[in-house]
Amino acid sequence: MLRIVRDLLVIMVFAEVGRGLTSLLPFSFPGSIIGMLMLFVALSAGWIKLSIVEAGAGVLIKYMAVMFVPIGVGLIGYIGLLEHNAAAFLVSTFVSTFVSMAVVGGVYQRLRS
Amino acid sequence: MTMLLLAIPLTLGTYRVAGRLHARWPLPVLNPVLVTMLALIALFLATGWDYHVYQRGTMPLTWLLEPAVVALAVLLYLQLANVKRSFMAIAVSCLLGVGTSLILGTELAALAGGSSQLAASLAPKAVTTPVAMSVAEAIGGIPAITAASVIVAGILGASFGSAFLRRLGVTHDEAVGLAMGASSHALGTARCAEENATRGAFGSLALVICAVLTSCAAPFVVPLLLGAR
Repeated sequence: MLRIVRDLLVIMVFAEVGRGLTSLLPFSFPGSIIGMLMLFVALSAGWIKLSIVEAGAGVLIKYMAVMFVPIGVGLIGYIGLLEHNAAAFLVSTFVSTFVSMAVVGGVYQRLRS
Repeated sequence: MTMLLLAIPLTLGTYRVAGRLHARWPLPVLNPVLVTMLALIALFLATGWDYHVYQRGTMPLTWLLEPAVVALAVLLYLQLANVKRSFMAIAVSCLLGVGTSLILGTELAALAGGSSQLAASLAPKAVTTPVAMSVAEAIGGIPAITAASVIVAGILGASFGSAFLRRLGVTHDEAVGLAMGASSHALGTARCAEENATRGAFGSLALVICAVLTSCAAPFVVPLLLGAR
């Protein structure tokens, strides 16, 4: 338990530093991705040990999906906006999501085999 | 006040029930996140409760998303050798994926009768919300519509992505992860990480690469497509 709390604190430091760095960038980019890259570099370079983040990272990743629920419920706020543009919204979103998924998966699998 | 306190238990409780449902009938439409969102949306629409209060109550949960994305670095690190070995294949697939997503997102919206403002809002939907919204703003879209389409793209991928890819014969774990991360950002990646560590790692990789590629390419590609119409 204590181990998980320590791991979470380490991960949050990376998240906070990542967020802080975004304000220095000339364009907008998510702090969480910068934090992810920094943690990745820190692990790869051996600056921090895997064991001080592994257990906490496992917990966060395990419950990551449920963290999207409130954001999804926020779709309620867009109902009016979407009603006017329903056809274009749905066609564009459905088709391009599945086609780009098929392209990435298909091309990668072919290149690797 | 009650809603503020009940928001998280309500979310976790519903998610738990949805998880049991999915364990009993493992169908893509019964994806626990999809079921939980729809159940709660139905609840708020039916009762007329203010979902803003719910959203305030679930702030701690939403706030954990940032550290969760940071934590994906661990999966990436554990797959470092595999990533290095196939870096070219990863880069080529992601580049084609971003191109497909931007072109189809823009063109289909315009073909289906959407304005160019709507097309610009829908173009960057495959990447994580903050990137997609700022790209949309830069190319003359409406960030709120972008936010909605990002969620829908994520839900579609997380719920139906692996079944869809399996049907196409894409079963290689690295390929599935990359495809889900590229088309359904962090939501697809979260789903991948539940399936196995390789999928999770390659999903995270695609999440990062596609966010960077989209923010670089969209400001050139989308106006070009819209201008040509």
